[in-house]
Amino acid sequence: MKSETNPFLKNWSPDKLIEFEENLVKLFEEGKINAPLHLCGGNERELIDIFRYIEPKDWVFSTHRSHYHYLLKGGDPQKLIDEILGLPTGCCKGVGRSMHIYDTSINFYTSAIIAGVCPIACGVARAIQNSYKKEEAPHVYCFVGDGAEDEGHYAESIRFAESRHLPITFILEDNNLSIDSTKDMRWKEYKPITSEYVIRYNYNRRYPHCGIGKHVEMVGVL
Amino acid sequence: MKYRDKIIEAMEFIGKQPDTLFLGNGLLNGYRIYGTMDKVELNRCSEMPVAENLKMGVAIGIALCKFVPVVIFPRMDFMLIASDQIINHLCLMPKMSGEQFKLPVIIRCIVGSQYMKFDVGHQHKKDFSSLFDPYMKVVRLEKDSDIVAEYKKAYESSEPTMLVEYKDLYTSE
Repeated sequence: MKSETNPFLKNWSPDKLIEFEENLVKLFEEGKINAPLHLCGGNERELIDIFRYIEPKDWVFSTHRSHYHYLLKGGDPQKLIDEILGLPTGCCKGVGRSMHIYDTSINFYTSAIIAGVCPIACGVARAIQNSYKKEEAPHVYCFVGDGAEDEGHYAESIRFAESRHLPITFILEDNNLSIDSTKDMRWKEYKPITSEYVIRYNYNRRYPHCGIGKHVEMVGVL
Repeated sequence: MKYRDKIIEAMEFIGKQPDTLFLGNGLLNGYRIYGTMDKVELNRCSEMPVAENLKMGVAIGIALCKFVPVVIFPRMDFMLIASDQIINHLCLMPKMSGEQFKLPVIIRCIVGSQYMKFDVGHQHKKDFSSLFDPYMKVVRLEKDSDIVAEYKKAYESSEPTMLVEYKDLYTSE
């Protein structure tokens, strides 16, 4: 078993992560976040367990719902809040907002296209495989929701990773909902894709797919 | 066969740079992209699964690691499957990130022959390059004399470039 190697975990507990999102709910209610907001919630313990083994040199790819991943990878909380508010002091100078979080200083990338990050994460793993000795190589972690499992390019990426023995792990975060459609609604008789390159965990989401569940008038926006 | 000779010369130039990698299908054996890859070392070529979206995304990942990938689509018709990775990711990711990184990816694509005495078929000869004009630099290689210079420019650029070749010109004198 790999030893715990994430120095940023000491900053976070499930309660602190929940508190971070509750602060965003408050800012949204005040009408200060005039862009889509995809809140995390319900998966704090599972993510802390997974991030225990993610090192600073490793790469993390995530989705439109990436606040927890960014914080647990070592992202600066203030830069994340500023980004969500669209301020120039945000980690993407305020142009990415909640859905598009990037930070090259911590090897953190996202895409809001379902399963869009999967082939890109494979490309990084492929380059790492070419450039490093195996024992020194960073590892790539690619987080996706259960909607990504519906996509062909998720399946292509897993087959590619398996066939080239790439240093990558896909983490399938299964809340049984793609927006509001369950897997059985989407597939009738759902069958998972299983692979040694995929870790799946199940959780129940705390917030709606987008926003905070009520209409808010935005302030200071033309 | 000046047009094809110039492409061979351009591929040889790119293949000799220290940080390039070709990704595509039919790179290792057979005609090697209509014979245009003959002067590129095999160890610079990565034969990929026939999955255009995967191929393009892998190139983006490789570019994030400071390599310059050249993705080859011998028929532009099939490149549409990769258009999500090209537009939503290759073109938009640097902007969405606040320009934290560049993606110097070279896309080499070929429009099939329009020659009607032997018709290559509806899904093998379309030119979709104008779809990409609003999002990235698209260079149409209509003259022999431009080919090597344009590929050199694409290699030296920090932005992605799509270079469009025309199969009908391969056989022109």
